[in-house]
Amino acid sequence: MSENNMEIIKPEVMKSFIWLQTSDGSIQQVEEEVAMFCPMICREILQSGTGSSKNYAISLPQQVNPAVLSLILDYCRFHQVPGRSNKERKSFDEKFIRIDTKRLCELTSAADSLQLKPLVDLTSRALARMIEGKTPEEIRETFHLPDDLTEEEKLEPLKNTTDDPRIRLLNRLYARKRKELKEKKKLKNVEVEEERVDDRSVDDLLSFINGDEGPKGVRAKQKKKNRRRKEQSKDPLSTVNQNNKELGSLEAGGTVVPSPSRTSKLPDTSDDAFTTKGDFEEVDVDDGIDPARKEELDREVEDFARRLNSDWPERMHFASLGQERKLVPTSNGNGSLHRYSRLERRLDFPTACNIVGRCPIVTPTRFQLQKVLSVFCFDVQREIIDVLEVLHLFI
Amino acid sequence: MKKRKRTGQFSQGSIDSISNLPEDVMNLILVRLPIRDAVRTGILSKKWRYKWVNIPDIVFNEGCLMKGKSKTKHASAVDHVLLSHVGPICKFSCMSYVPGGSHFDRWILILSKKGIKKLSLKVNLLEKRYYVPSSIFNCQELCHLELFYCILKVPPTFKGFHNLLVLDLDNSISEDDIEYLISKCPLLERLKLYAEFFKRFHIHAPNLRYLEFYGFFRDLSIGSSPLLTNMSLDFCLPPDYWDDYEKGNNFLQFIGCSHGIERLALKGTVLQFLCVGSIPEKLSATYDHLKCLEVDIKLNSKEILAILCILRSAPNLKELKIGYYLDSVEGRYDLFEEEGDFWGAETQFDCLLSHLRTVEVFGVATLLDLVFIRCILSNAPVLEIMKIYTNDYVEAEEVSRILKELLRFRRASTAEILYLGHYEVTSW
Repeated sequence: MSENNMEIIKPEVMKSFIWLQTSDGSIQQVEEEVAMFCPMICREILQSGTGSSKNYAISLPQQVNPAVLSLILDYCRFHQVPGRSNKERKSFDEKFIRIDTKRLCELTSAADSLQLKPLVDLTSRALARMIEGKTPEEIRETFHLPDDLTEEEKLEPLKNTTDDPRIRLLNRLYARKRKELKEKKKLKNVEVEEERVDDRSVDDLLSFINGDEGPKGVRAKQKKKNRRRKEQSKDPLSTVNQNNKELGSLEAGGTVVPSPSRTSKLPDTSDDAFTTKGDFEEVDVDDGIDPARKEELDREVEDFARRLNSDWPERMHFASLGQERKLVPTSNGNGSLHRYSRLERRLDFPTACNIVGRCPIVTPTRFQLQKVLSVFCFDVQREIIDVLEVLHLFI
Repeated sequence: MKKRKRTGQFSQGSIDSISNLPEDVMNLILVRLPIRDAVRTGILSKKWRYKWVNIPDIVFNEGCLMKGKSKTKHASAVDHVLLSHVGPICKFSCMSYVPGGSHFDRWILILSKKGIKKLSLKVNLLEKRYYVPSSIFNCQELCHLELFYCILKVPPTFKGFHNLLVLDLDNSISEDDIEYLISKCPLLERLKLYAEFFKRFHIHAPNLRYLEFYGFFRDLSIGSSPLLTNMSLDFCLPPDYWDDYEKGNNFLQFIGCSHGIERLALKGTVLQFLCVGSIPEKLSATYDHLKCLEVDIKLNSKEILAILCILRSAPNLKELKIGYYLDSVEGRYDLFEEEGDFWGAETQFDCLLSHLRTVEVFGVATLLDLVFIRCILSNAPVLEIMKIYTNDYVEAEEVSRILKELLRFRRASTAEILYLGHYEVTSW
């Protein structure tokens, strides 16, 4: 058509069509503006130039069979007209989704594959309405779902809620810590007593961290206790378990050196590092960390302990029980607790993982985990719980 | 209802077409269910067992937990959901009355590892305020944060929420912390704050579009926020409580806010507070974009001047809402004397409200209140509708007097005046 002879052609005649091929191979043509309402088709036309003729039909995703395509095109045809009011559109939509569930699901799936978001939203809302408020039997009937779970499986979710040891443990820890924080301010003498009680748990703790758990742990505990007693004669203690069981330091061996009050029993950190390493190697079969790294860790931990110590020299009087003071870290109350926890963070994550990871905690019993964590201050506990969770509990 | 079921072989067929929908579509469906229903789909069939664990939004609202169950049961339900959930969580909302404290600690910790984007927590008002744990500051993906009745302490090492767009803190933060927090959230768009009292309220949020602040402030400054279009200030502190405070040129200073502003609301005694200094005739700049103005007036004197000042500087105003703010029944009648002399020769209602289309007046109580309305009516050529509510203590006799007076007023437009009865203040 030359420009001179251009006839005035009515717009309808000029309509262009897009060719679409459905999953079953059949090809049909659709008005361009209707087809362009689907983002996926739109993109295909613009990017690859297909759809302009029968031979170059756009092949639609396999979820789109002819029946569903015609539904989708109805939807597009209605909504692509700009002049419609919201009310009109809404009432069209309501009527549109009154189809049986099978076709509704197919429609959802096809709309999703064509990236027709408004239709996907509409259909998923409809499906949600079909599920909401119904009993499982009703839902199964509506959607023809097989009832193939065993009774136990059905009850399982309910069981977990009350029995989850992690939840109970965490609850207990937080509650306990809060209580202790309160008590700490008032009664300092009593705390010395508390440490005594704690010692036993420290032993458990040591033995536990040295790789024992469960019934085996008990035996090992005994062994450890004896060994520990032999080491009493060694040097003054190093770090940890302050009055309120709030501080702790992690050693390379993964042991926690207990509180200063039990000084007579407690070995020095640095010494302990080596002795317990020995212990550790005896008991722990599968220690994946090579000796070089262990050394590094030992050093890090010592360094860490030293850092702790240097910060709180003033609380040394709490360590009084005839031991050397200089290596006793303390917590000064809220302010330094805060500081403490920041220092703690310097024990970087891989190290912490390593240390904690050396104790093969698969499913720690509440008791064991409590013991481990009770040695540390509240903030540190949280950190450790973080680590534990990352490693084991939130896979 | 069209019956399309009988299409042949598939009418009552046992084909399960929903279980094989792709995951993201499944999530769209499950997310629209109340959380309880969503979790219960886990027992429908083998395929459905773990479909719900990927839902992006977890919303525990008041209606969704079972009635009559103890609070610990509620808490353990939330625990169960959080622990069984797999993948990132986009939205978590717990607005139902679960005992605060330790439960929230746990949940925030879990959420901080799950890439939480939208977090809303409401603590039971009967409990003590909840100290939000520091793990919340690890939620780097956070883009929407809502806290009710908590205590949020921002640590000095806080690096910022680089994705935060919406912040809503109700009684949860101190003024220094909020300044610091906002300064570290460069993308903040919407800010809503409820607080008791801020001495200085300086916010520097370059991307801010919407600001709502409820609380008494002495000194307000909004740093350059060129995108600010919607601002609302509100407090109810009566004048007796505004002790010794500078009678500076408060009004100008405050209103010197963003020039792009489209909607401005000064509720409660805010306008009264701002009028303590002297009031200029016109503001230093014109607010061409201001379309909607909402003010509460107490006294029909200085505050009217203030409104006039704004009206003169906002030539494109389309909507005006005036509330006759009353803090006591007697208070209104006491003002008679003062107000009586107000509309004298000096007060010229000389601005043409050339774009004003709708006016709403709440709480009309005396004939004096109508003077301003009369001025508006005669200066608004394109006014379409005016809605009037009387205050709910006004007696019928007075109401009829008011209405009679209203009828007399000349209108510059063909506006419709609707009297809609007494205005009932809905409690917040």
